[in-house]
Amino acid sequence: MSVDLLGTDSAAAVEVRGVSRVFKAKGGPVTALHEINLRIEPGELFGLLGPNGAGKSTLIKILSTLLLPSAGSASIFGLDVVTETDRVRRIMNLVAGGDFSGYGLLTVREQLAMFAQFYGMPYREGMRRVDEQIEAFGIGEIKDRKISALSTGQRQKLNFARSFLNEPWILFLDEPTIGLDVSAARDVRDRVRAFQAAQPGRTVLLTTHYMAEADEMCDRIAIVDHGRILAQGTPAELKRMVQKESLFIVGVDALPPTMSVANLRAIPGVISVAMRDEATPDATGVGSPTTRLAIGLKEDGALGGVISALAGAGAHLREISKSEPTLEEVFVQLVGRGIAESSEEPRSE
Amino acid sequence: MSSIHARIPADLAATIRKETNWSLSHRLRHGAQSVLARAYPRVFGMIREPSWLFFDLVFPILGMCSFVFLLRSRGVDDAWVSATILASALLTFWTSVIWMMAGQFRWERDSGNLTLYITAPVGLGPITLGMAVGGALGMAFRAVVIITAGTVAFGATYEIREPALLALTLLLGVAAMYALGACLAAFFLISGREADHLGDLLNEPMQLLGGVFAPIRSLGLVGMVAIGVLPLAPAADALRQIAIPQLAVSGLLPVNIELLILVVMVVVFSIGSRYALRYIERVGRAGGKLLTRAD
Repeated sequence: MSVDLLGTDSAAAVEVRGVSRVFKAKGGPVTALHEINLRIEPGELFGLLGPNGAGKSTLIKILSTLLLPSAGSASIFGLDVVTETDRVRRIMNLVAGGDFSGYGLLTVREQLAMFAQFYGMPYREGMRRVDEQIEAFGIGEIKDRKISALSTGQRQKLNFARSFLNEPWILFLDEPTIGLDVSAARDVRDRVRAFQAAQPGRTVLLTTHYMAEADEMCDRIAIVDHGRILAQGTPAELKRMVQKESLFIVGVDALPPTMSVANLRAIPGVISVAMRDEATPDATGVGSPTTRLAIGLKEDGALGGVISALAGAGAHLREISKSEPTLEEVFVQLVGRGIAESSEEPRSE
Repeated sequence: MSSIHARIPADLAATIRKETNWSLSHRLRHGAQSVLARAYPRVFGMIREPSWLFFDLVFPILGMCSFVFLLRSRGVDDAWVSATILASALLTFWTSVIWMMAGQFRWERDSGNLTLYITAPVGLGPITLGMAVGGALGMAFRAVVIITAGTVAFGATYEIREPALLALTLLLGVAAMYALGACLAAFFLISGREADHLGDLLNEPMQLLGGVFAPIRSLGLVGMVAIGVLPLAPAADALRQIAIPQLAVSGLLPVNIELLILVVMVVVFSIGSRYALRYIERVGRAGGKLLTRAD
């Protein structure tokens, strides 16, 4: 079903409505996606975070017109991915991790030129964009090198360069930094950000099982497991979901005799206090005693009372920092296990 | 992020509508560009690998030599030596049809290219046509080298009274073979591992049934069936009759009829390939495994 975008006040970059996908398998049908609902706004960098077999790639395949849903519907900028595949393909692109596509006998520039033709732009415009991407990805030195002679990192940069040729409105990145070293992964992440910054409205859907990557890159994240979205929101929102209290670490040189943990707990808004003594190196490199207090608060505003109480008791403050849960902790709480230990029973993705 | 939950600006919606609404001329230009783009690696890419060029030329020439030596040892008319050289040139196209057309999509799938082709706005039709055009041009060079080498080495002679007819026959024969290859590309992709056996089946057995190295007339009814379904058969038979008039009597059907058969084959196989390519895309999207590389 085509949606008239002009005048529509709520057309999403991606809209997924009750999508399920069941694969036939020897042991019986395997449900890879269970009635997924998802909405991604134009310009977002949205992450699907989950272990192998969670259904992330299945969802990306459905949205990128490679796979039909068993039930439900999905659209890209109002274009139905099942019935308007030709039009969807004109505004999208795809990069998968560990991709070795292309022809080894072609050079980097020839390979990009070939895909520029496939993406439908006039020849000169295509070649202009090819040279632009070669420049943007810093692969000018290897532009005349055969594909077969490229390293994994270089090939993935080439794949990214290819994916930007048609300046897609929706870019699907399926574990794009898998197998890349830190530097190459950072380069491609920077390029994705630059692409979105330069062209407002371009939307990116990223699947990853790298927590730090998702946390660093994504505007919003959906945590997926066993074909279901367990939670979605901004990284901060997700972290708040698992954080029962605001946790602050307060370092003082020593807790004054007139101040005890019990006193601190009695301060309004304080939920918990834990204390441990540590040695912190001073300017001379010699450790000086520091008492660190892990103080759980109902809300951030309660911190003022704690600081006043400590200062009033004569404690010298050395540090104050807020401790936030990591996405890993969010994942463990929602899924019940760590992402690294969730790779069993790969599904038919 | 400010754009979250924001209304889509009217100009963005208009841009997307415009970008996805391609005119007929846009689609035709895009199709033609895609054909040439896909043909490019076949024509120019392969020249860059000297070892491939060497093996692609030397092995067919060695095969041709063995046939020629056998014919000469049996005292067969030299006209059949010329015919054998012609057949060897024709077979370079046929071999390319089997391995570089029929078997190609499996390789493309396993390398990840097929996924990119499917998700690109190009469609498999122009990609397949580009494979065929590039393959035919690349093989034409090899065919010329084989005929030249055979003619020089064995003193083969050809009496071409109607070069235009010869060119037309060759063109139709090659077009029919590659159109069949496009159909088989879809079939091989679906066949999975069995495709390797199918490839073998299409090689030597089809050379025999196609009457490439012997008069197809000698195959009797089998030859008649072959000439109706296998492009190699009418192409080889017609080329022999046109280029080597002494062998015209060994022809199974008049050249004009064989040309007509080739025209029908081009049309039927081209239409068939269109349906076959649509079919594999439909099946692939439904099943989930046919079009994407196994992880």
